[in-house]
This record gives sequence, structure tokens and C-alpha cells, in this order.
Amino acid sequence: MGASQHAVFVTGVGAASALGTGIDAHRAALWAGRDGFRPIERFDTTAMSAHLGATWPGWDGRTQPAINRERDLAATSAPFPLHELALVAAREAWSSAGVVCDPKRAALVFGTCYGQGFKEFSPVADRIAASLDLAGARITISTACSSSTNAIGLARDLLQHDYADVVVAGGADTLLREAQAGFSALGVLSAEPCAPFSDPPGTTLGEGAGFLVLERAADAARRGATPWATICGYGLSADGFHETTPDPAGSGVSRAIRGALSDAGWLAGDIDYVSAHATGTANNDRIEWSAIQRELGAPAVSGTKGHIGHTQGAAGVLELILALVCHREGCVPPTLHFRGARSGCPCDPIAGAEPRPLAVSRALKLSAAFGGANAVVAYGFGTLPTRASPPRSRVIVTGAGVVGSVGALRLSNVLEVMEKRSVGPSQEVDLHGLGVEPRKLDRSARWLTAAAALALSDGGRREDMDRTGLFVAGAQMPAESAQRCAGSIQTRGIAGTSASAFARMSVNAPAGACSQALGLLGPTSTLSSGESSGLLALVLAAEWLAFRDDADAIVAGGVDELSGLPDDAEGAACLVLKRSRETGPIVVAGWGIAGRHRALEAAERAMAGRSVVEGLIVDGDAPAVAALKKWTATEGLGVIEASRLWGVGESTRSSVMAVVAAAHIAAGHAQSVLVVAARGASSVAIVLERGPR
Amino acid sequence: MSDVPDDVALYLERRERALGEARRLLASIINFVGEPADIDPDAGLFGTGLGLDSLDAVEVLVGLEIDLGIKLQGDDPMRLGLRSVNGVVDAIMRARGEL
Amino acid sequence: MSVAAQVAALRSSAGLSRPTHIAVVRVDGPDALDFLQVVSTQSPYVREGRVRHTLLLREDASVFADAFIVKVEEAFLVIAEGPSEQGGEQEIVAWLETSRERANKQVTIHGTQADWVALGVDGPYAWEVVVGLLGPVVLGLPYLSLLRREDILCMRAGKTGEYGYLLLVPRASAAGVEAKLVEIGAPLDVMSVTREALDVCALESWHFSMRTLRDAGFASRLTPIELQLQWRVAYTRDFVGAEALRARRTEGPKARVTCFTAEGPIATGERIQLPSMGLHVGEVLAACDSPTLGHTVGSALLDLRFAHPHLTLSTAPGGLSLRTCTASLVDSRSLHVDPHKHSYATRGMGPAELELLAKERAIS
Repeated sequence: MGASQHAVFVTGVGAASALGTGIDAHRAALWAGRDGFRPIERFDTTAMSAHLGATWPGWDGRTQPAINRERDLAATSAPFPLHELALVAAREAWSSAGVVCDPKRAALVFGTCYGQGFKEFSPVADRIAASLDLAGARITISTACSSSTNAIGLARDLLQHDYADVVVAGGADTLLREAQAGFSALGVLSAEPCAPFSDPPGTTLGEGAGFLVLERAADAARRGATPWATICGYGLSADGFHETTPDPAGSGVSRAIRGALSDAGWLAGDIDYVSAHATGTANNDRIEWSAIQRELGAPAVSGTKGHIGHTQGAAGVLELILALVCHREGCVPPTLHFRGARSGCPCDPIAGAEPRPLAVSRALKLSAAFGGANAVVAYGFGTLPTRASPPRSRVIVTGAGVVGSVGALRLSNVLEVMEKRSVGPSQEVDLHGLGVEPRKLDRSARWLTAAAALALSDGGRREDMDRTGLFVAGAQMPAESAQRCAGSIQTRGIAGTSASAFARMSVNAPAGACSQALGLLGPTSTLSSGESSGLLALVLAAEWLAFRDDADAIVAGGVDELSGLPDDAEGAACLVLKRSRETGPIVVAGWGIAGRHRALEAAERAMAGRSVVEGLIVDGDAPAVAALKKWTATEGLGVIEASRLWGVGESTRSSVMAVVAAAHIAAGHAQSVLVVAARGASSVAIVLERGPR
Repeated sequence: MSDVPDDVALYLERRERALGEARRLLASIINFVGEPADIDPDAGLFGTGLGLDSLDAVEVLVGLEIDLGIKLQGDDPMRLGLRSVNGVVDAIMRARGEL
Repeated sequence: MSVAAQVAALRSSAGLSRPTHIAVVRVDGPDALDFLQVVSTQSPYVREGRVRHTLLLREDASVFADAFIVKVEEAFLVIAEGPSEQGGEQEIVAWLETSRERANKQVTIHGTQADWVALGVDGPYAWEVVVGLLGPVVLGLPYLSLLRREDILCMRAGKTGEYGYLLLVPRASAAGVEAKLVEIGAPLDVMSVTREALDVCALESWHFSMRTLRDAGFASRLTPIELQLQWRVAYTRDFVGAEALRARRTEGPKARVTCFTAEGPIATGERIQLPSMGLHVGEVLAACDSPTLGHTVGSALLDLRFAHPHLTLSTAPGGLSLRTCTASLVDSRSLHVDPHKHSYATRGMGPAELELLAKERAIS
């Protein structure tokens, strides 16, 4: 890496939505002023407050069967395979980019809110990656409506830090009965086509898939590829306010905007255009507009959910793509169905049917999700100066917490318990004793919040909340809330869908609840990438703190809830990472991410030239373990295999591995420990070291 | 309770019963940590008191209907006067003709 | 202005007050959070911008003060109303100092009345007054939150059942700010109100206020359980009075406060009985004439068995009929006022008229 950051280009684009399949179809629809709303036919909407949806024409004629004794939700969603929709867009992006590269250096970052049938997330990414022969890092982000926006930003980071040469980034979601029922129960659907910033208030759900192909500018230039745009930076933040209502002061959105500007090295006055989240609900639009005005003054703003509906996890990328299609012809997308501004909304959000000519050199894509996860991507055109790389900061571990069957453990006592074989049911933690009000936290949220609170208290004083973030690994939706929601539909019918259970039914809901309970308002993300996700969250946190200055600390970890499978375990584990000028007793010395079955590659990067470590903690198959042993000193801690760490679930395991490593260092058993999570969609490695005295 | 007139005794018995049902319903909605008896009868539902929000408000109505078989007209708890635990108890007893 | 007129203003537009009975005490130092954990029934850990509504108890679990705790920069502010009539920070500071010694914590505790003046604005259009002073940012301020604007700390709390704001203003500029509030409030028919009027509103809307414990001797022994304030207590925490409170909870309370109305005046301490049998069931804790409702409203400490609404009781020996009720009796106008849509000037208009007005404004 040189002294200045790499510019990252978008060299391929693909889309499928209610407007049609392919970029040309979307362009045609934009210039025809067409929206994609039609009465929903695939399931019965009589009991719901809205009957319109923005469904993909490719699935016309298919219906979603009802849930019954033989058919569960996964089975009824089978006619609408998410990967099928996603691949349509992903293939278009890939072939339009025309990129040729070593598959090991091609990565995928995929965002989705509900995955396949509200159950499978990472496996969908696997199918996309397999189809395109992407063998590098594979990351699935599930932060509800901001998933794909977050994905684009993360993809840029992967290129910045040389984890890949090409990254396919985007998102997809389908429109299923349960989603329409849930949003209907929340009272946020409009009976008419969604009218962002206008009347009547309310949103319209949609489905779709959008993907970008990203590569470093130098590489793209070398092969003569013309970019659609440059991705210049991004920001993340948590509202920490409520499951579905945004922070009324808009400070969460403000923080994300500021993070994006700072990452891109831009000033507020530089922004020519903002593609707003603009769901059409009274709360969102007003709060979002107030934040945009406060941070940016009065840039041109429009929202395209009036074209494609609210495509959930795909919203960020699809709306960015619509904007890029317009920008390519010197325009910005309009806001459809605008009949005068609702209170607190912009008077002219590019109202009209067709795209409006407007020169744009710097713009933002803004997404604000349920659970309060905000993401803003900064993009631009032409020659944009790249920012100098900020000096790399030292990252230390200041505390850890583990809860579940093991009880409630901190760094000081985790070793006593973790490495002994012992069986027991999970033990609820006294949240009041940790200063947390457990009211309204579902099971997953209680685990995660307890682990995070323990980890924060382990480190002493609480940090400045705006600047403390939360990165979480979760494999599933919170089971208790999902069951409560399903139960409500079963006993009361669709009309009786529990709004509060539905609001907690997303992979990022526990992170949102934890942010709220503990006031962690900095950057937030939720990963669902298989067994290595916990360690991946830790690595991404370390990366954020090392190279950015909009957060001082990040709580990183994972949470699992019992889902009824054998050998299931529940609980959560978190570590607190902090950026530090001085050193601390436990330093995060190196880290690496690579594709599946590429543990050595990840470990090599984490080792960063080091020839030996005193301990190895690994979750992998025998060959991987054998290969990794080469770095381990014969004396010292030796090798600890993850199977020795009992009572931990899929998302928690790799976080616990890191906690155990940190504890060994704190106890003086080893000067350095390499932790490798070799199972899962990506291989992830981290080296923890004792800080100099 | 021979020191109390029969009608009063009957009312108090029914009140206690409905209060218990209301407490248990609300406790489940807010994932209350503690005994239902810890819920004060005059505690407010929204804002102050139990701190229910708009999502929970819907739960209250649905819970009354499903768990207790009590259907109230309308869909806004605030407008239905359900502002405190006792307000919920009143609604239960009224629906049963006990008030 | 009569109390009745003040209460009318508090319930229809807004009332301005100088609540000198509310103490604002600053607690800082390395053990500040730990210390407040010990003296407060709820965890004082509170996010920047949020306010914790809690109680300070004595060792025997009786209620010493009704308090808000907020964090402002590195320090905590304890905004409390204590047991005595005049209130004032002396008694709060003294009590905190004693607790500090017992808990052996490193904190400094000082009253702030030399630095700040507290001003209250309460009423269905109180927000409109405060917006006039501090700007539209106030519109989005949720209940139990605070914001800082220049030197003024604005907390949204309120105990009248209407919108309520407590402003902490530097002493030097207090007179000027007060004058400005009066000026902003003039077209809104805003009135100056006293503590008495605020207490009447609190009793009408069944908001706990220390006033209810002031007049009856037995009141000083009442715990959050009898006072129906368990929602402000976290039983698994340890704080001053927790042990006694848990013991009371285990043995079961014998009485509970209950709201009542009566047609005539009633005095504190009057005995209450079940009229037909002459069975003694409790005492009057507090009562006042409610201008809003047109009759007496009050709080009675009744035997647990009878501590329920919709009972007809009477005073003894007076024989004045009273009826227990479901609080609150007052349908606060604030529940129907949406700061994003309404204003005092348009308060009589229906939705159709408002829409028309909004359209006209948009055009002009």
C-alpha cells in the first residue's frame, strides 16, 4: 500500500427488480417514468393493510404456498429461491465488467435482510460465489435495509487493504407473505404506491437484486475498463433508539453521513446529490431530511423507492444503481408520486416523472435500517483526489465477556471454565447488576447485551458512546422472536401477526437492541457468514480502528440462540477493541481474511512476517490444523483446538477462541497467540500479542 | 370476609383475578424480569411506568383478544383508555360485565 | 392569579414556573457512577442525552427524594425533590454526603444554585414556548431526554400529565431567559404558575410527587411498594434501602395508595371506612380541589384488600362519600397535541382546516 489510498472503481453493474431484468430495462423504465407496483398475486393479501408490491416479473405466475403442518417457512419460500434472483443481477454485473482474475483474489460481499426463507444467509452467498467462481473472502452482511449499502463500503475496504483484486458487492431479497404481513402489522405500509416525502405516507415492499463489480482504479485502468463511478468512502452508525423508529433527532444518520464524508476526505458542501433512503413513512422521511439538512445544507435529494419499492436488503445497491444509470447521462433520478411535501420533508425532491439533468461529481447513498443500523456510501465521478492513508493506529483488547452455559465470564476467569469438559444448561445473567434494563430484550438480545456489558465493564470506564461501535456475528434470526411471530400467525392468522415479534425478527435485531441498551452509537454491522463470523467481526473491528478515526472502541463478538439442533449451544461472547496511542497488555498485532479453505493464506497475513507464535487456537479440519502447526513454538501454549471449548455455538465459537487467546496472554501463559477460524465462508486469522511493559 | 357486603366481596375477588391476568399479559409482552405482582396496578403503560411503545401497544390488544378472549372495538389502545394497568383491568372486567 | 386559573393555564396552554423546591446537585469524581449506583433505586447508568427517573430511599426503604439523574459531560446531575416543603439543595446535599461517607466513595457533591436557576415550562403547548427559545430541535426531544443549547440545559420531564420541560439556565442570564419566555408565551396565553398549581396538576394526573408525603405523619414510612413506584425499582440491584424493600416485598405489603374523588373538601389524615359496615380501611394521604374536574381529587392509603378502583367509601366520622378510581382522571390535552402538526394558534381547527392552512403556507 502506498502513501495514499487506492481509488476504487465500479466496473460492472447488474440489476433485477420490479422494473425488469437488466440495466437496459431499468434505464428504459426510468426514462418512461414507470414504477414497478402491481397488486400482489403470489399470496393472499386480504388480511393485510396493503395489496401492492414491487415484485420481479421473472417470477410472475409463481405462488407462495401457505404454512401448514407439513410445510414450514423454508418450504413455502422454495418457489422464490433468493440465489436465482441474485444470480441474474450478479451475472450481468460480472460479465459487463469483463474482468479476468485469479479466483482466489475475487471476493463477494453480499447483503440480505431475510435471506432464503428467513433462515439461510451465508449459503445463498456460497451459491452466488460458486456460480461466478469467486474463491476469495465471502462475507454476508445482514443489517436489514442497509445491508447492501454496508456491503459496498466493506467491499471497498477489502480492495483498499489488498484482501482481493476484484469484489462483487451487492444484495438481494424476496417479497414473501410473512414480510408483507409483518410490515403490515407494523402499520408502515401504504395502500397506494409508495410516495417518498409525500402523501399518503407509508412504504411499499419490493424485491430485487443488485450487484456491483469493484476493483482498484489502477487495475481497471490497466485493462482499459471504464468506470461507472468511484466509491470513495463510507460511514456506519447505530441509532440505538428503537427497533423500528429512527432516533428522532436524526443523530444516527448524521453520524453515518459524517463518517462517510471523513472517509472520503470530503466536506459537507462538496455533496451535489443524495440518494435518500426515503421509505415514504412519516418518521423516516422527516428525520432523514432533517439530518441531511443539518449535515449537508441543501443538496439535491431524491428517493427511488417510488420506482422499485422498498427492496429491503437490496435497497442500497439497487437505488445506487438507479442513480448511476442516471448519472451516466448527466442526470439524477426523480422522486415519483410526489404531490407536495409532507411536513418536515423537502419541497422539491426532484419531483417529476423523468430523470432531471444535473451535474454530479460527488454524491451519497444513504440507508437507514430497522434496528437503527445506518450506512452511507460516498461515490463520485471524474478525477477525485484520493485521501492520504491515515497512519495506522495500534489496536488493543481491553476486555471480554462470555455468557451462556458457561455462566458469566470475563478475561480473569474464562480459562478456569472454558477448557474443562462440563455440561450444564445456560445460565441467565443478571442484567440489572450490569446496569442494563432487561425489559423488552428478547433472548438473543439479552445474551448479546450481557456479553457486551461484561466486556465493557472488564475494561474499566465506559467510552464515549458516539465513538464506540458494535460488530456482531449471528447465524440466525433470534429464535424466540421468530417463534413468537410464527406462533402469532398460527393462532391469530395473518391479521394477528405480532408486530413487536416481527420487529425483532432480523439477524441484526440483537445488535440493535444491544446498541440501545448500552448506548453503543458508533459504527455497527452484523455478519452472517458461517462459523468464522465471530472472528471476522473482530478482524473488521480491528481494521476499522486501525485505519479510521471515527471510532475509538468497537465491541466485537457473536451471539447464538438455541434452535433445536443437536449439539446446539447458546450464549454470546464479546471483546472490546480500542484504538490506543499507548500500548496495552493485549495488542492485536495482525489479522487476515481469505477464501474458504485458505486458512494458511489468512494466517500468513496475520503473522505479518512473524516466524513463530507461542500458541495456536484453531477451528478447522485436521489438514488445516496440521499445516498451521508449523508456526507454533514447541514450548509454550501449544495448540488448542476449538472442540475443547465446550458450550459454544456457531457464531460464538470463534469469538470465544479470541477471548481464550486474550486470557492466556493476560495470564502470562504466552507472549503471542495465533487464532484461526478455518471453517466458514471465509478463513479468518488474528494474532494477539502481549504488549511491551 | 363477613365484615364486607357480598357485592363488594364479589367485586374485589373478580378484580384481583383480572388484575392477575393483566399483570401476566403485560409481563410477557415486555419480557418482564420479576414477579407479575411487582407490577403496580396504577403503573402507566406508555411513556412513563412500564415503558411500552407503539409496537407493544398492538400486542396488548392482540393479547387481550387471544389470551383472554376479550375483543375491544378499535385499534388504538390510547384511544381506548388503556393507559395504565388498571385501565387494562377495567377493560377486562367491563367486557365480562363485571364492572 | 388564583390556583384555579393557573391550573387552567397549565391544562390549556402553558405555565412558567421557578421551581425553587427542586435541587440540582452536581456529583463528580472517579467514583461518581459507582456512588450513584448505591443511592439510586434504578441504575443511573444513562446514555448521554437520556434522563433516568429514579428514587432515593432511606435505609428503611421509605422514600427520601424523587430524582432525575442525567450525565452532562463528565459529571452527573441529581435533580431532586426532597421531603420538606421548602425543599432546597441543603437537605439533598446533606443526605448525599452522609451516603457518600457510608459508602466510602471518592466523589464531590455540590449544590449548583449559585450557578444555575431552574425554570419550568409545563402545558399542552409548553413545547411551543421552548421551541421559541431554543429552536425546532426541541420538537424531536423524547420524554426523559435532554439537550444542550448554548448554555441552557433543557430536559423534557414534567409531572403534570402535560408536556413539561425543565430548563437549567446560568444564573447570570436567568432573568433574561425568563423575560424571553414570558414574551414568547404572551400570544399563547401563558401564565406564571406556583408550586401549588403544579402539585394540583400532579395529583390530578396521578404523577407521584413528594407533596403527597408531606402532610401525613405516616407517609414518611411509605416505601415504593405502597406508593406504587416499583416500576422505578430494580429488585436485583443493591442500593440504600434495597434490603428493607426486598424484605417488605417478601412479607407482602399491607396497604397501597389509591386514587379517589369526592364531592367536598377532605383533609389529610382523615380516616376512611367502608360505609355500610363502618369498617376502617385506610387514611387520606393527600387531597385537593381539582379545578379541572370540578371536585376533590386525592390519594388514599388503603388496606391492600380494598386498594382498588370503583369502590364507594366514606370518611369517618364525617360521612363524606368518596369513590376510588382508575387514575388518571384527567384526559390531558397534551395527548391530543402533536408538535409536528399543531400549534396554539390553530388549536381549534379540525384536520381539514389544518390541511388547508398547511397548503396555503406551502404556497406562500
